[in-house]
Amino acid sequence: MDRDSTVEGAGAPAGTPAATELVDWAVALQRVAGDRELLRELVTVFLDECPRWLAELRAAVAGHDAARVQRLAHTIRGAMGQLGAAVAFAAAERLELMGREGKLAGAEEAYAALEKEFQGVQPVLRQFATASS
Amino acid sequence: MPIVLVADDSPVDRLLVGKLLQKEKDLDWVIAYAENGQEALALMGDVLPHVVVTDLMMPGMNGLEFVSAIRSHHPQVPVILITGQGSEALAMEALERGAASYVPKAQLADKLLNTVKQVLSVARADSNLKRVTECLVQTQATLHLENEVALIPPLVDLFGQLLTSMNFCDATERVHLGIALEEALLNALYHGNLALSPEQVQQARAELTEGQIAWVIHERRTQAPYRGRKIHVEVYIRPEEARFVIRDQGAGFLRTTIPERGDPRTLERGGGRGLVLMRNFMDEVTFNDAGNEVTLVKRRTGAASKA
Repeated sequence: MDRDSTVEGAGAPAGTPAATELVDWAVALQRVAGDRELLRELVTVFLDECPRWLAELRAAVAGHDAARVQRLAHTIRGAMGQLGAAVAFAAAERLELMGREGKLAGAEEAYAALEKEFQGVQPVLRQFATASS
Repeated sequence: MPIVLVADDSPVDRLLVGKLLQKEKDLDWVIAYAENGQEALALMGDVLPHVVVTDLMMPGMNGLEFVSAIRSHHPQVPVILITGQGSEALAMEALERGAASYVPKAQLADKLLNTVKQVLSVARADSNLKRVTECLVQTQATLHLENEVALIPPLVDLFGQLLTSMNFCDATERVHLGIALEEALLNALYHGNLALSPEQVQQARAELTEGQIAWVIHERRTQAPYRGRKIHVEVYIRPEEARFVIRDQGAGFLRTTIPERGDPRTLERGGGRGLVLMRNFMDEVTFNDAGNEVTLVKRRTGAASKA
């Protein structure tokens, strides 16, 4: 499956992983049955919602609310998976597992890692969402 | 006009599910959305959907409670789960509690449409036939089916209606039994008689979903040794149990490759989904030594024991 050449290598700051390592566009397109416009819609919604999810997740971590950590991390993980962001997916999954097991030791660090991954994929996704079809 | 209710707290997933369902051209779905279980139940209090598609992890009422509530208050409405990686055990329990089927989140694009259509098809009831079949006490039938996918839904519907009319099972159990029976018949057709690979099956299902000819089936039915094979179906319905024996004429498979009942890892395995559904929805599922015959037994509610 072709990758979106308009975003390959673009959007990522110098010294950071290339866009193609942050988002697997082949996976993302496969999840939407190849519908590029649908993928653009999903990315747009995700970019609108994820900052709020992260803020709520940060509060849940600070409040040691394991159930809420699990649910919010699950939501973020699911979205990252649909968009082909494997590393961010793994970061969210780590937090989800902590929440599920009720073991939040290290959750602050895990949250920081997730937030960093989101900041990495955000410009890549934003460029895709705003590129002309 | 089927009404599909999508319950998911993620707007990304609600959008994806809704848009994938809208790709169906032959049915004029009405798609309603809810952000959680409570909201979904409130909507169902006003208008009953024909099927619910739900995530398992939502705020407030969790997915298991939601499935149980639908089974309790609206047993005629089938529920399809969206399962995320790592939620297999939860999904198994939801199937035990009454969900009709499931689609892994990573496979929504491939499987959602087909699964919703399958569940809706089985859940549909014919009220005129019901009046006649209410007089039935027991029945027995033997069929030799051609390898045509189109023959399977009406066969499943026929015996589902008989069982409902005989008050053998409630509406939810009828859907479950129909799903299990359909999976067994499709397995006999695709993997048994026609010996298709999982990839070929997926391609054929996609083509059939779009109303196209499934060429791999069409061609294989004309080739030796697949040409002329039949699916043998024996049905025994008595007051206390319904027994379905389905035998194909393929090479069979190794009994040792059959995963154990209750192993949640089979939920994600490509060829295991049909077996998971059969085992969850029937009281007994047994295979012959050759691996080309399956016996499904469903006992009347109150006399059931899982095996």
